[in-house]
Amino acid sequence: MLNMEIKPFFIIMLIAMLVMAIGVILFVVLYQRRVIKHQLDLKLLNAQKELEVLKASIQSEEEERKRIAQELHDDVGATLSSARLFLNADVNNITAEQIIISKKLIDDSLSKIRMVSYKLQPNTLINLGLQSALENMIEILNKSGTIKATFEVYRDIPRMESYAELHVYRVVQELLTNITKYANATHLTLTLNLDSRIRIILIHDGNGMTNEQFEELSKSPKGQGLKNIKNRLRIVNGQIEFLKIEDYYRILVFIPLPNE
Amino acid sequence: MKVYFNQNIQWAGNLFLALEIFFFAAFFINFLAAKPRWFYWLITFLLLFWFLYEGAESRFMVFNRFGASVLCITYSVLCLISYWRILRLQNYHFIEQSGAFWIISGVFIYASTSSIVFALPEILKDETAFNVNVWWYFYILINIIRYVLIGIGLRLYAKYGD
Repeated sequence: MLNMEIKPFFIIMLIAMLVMAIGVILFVVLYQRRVIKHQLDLKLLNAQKELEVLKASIQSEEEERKRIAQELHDDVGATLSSARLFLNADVNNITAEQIIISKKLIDDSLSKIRMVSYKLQPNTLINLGLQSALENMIEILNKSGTIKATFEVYRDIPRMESYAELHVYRVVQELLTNITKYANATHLTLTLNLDSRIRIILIHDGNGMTNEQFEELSKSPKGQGLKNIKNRLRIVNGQIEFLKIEDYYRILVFIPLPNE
Repeated sequence: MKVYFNQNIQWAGNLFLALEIFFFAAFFINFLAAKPRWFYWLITFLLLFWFLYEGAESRFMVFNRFGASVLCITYSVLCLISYWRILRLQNYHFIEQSGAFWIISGVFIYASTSSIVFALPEILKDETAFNVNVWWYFYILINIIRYVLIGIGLRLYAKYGD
């Protein structure tokens, strides 16, 4: 009698235990596959992002080269050609005025070459850091007369890795170019502040954009500059926000502190 | 036909279990990177001592089912910890190519089911209450699966390492 009662229970227990053991093994295999698939997907996504950044960086480099070539050809080339024309005259008949004009044209060319060289790699940025380079950038913008720009510092920002400083510098440069080109702004303020992050705030009275417009434009083929801003900020783990407060547009750029 | 354990060969089962303790101790201590090693080897020797003490009463001539059941439960727990380690470390891109995984799976299938096979008759304390055939054939089947899986594991271990 006892045998009859125990036997089925015993068999069920054994089968249940076997099923449980196989279940645990299957769970381990399937879970492991899922995790590996997830990891591979993440790696693929990162690789795609890196490729995108690389593409954008190559494209921006090409555009920069094109712009420099154009600047050298149209400005420096034309000025030097004029100087050559003045100096091409007969040596005995050359006037003092012609020499003075030629000298002025050559000086202009030199200054333009210096400007191109500065744009390529600003010395202030390398030697004195981002804060001084941005101050210098605002000074040059003011001198151009296109906009009335002011520079304010609430707290000095620390020096960062050179690549990070260059990326942030290029971001601000691109933002300022966009403001002067498209926003029709007459006044602009660049403010630097520091708390848990470095804060770069640009306020202007022109036609700005919202976060949504920025996202939309940066995805369009025309928004190469905005795409570069995004990519450069991604490299330095930075963030950007576009706000409109009353009649002023604000662009906030947040950069993590160097030790983070 | 009913098959009963031949009392004369039960000492071989005891000896085999005692030797098995060393094999699994070496495997798990190595796989789980358990430190300090001397501490886990001490536990292994204490377990062995306890197993021998349990069987000494019958002069090792009767298979020590209670001891075997305790060992199987210990191995099952170690296998679960090993699975947890495999999932946590994520070192294996192809888990099927890991010798350790197959060895652990073989041990786990054997240990988790055999613990019941060994424990139930011991708990019931009634040798006539169950049919020896049932657990004997089941035990053989589980052992075949175990050795096949451990064999695959050792082959992979030799081929790829772990």
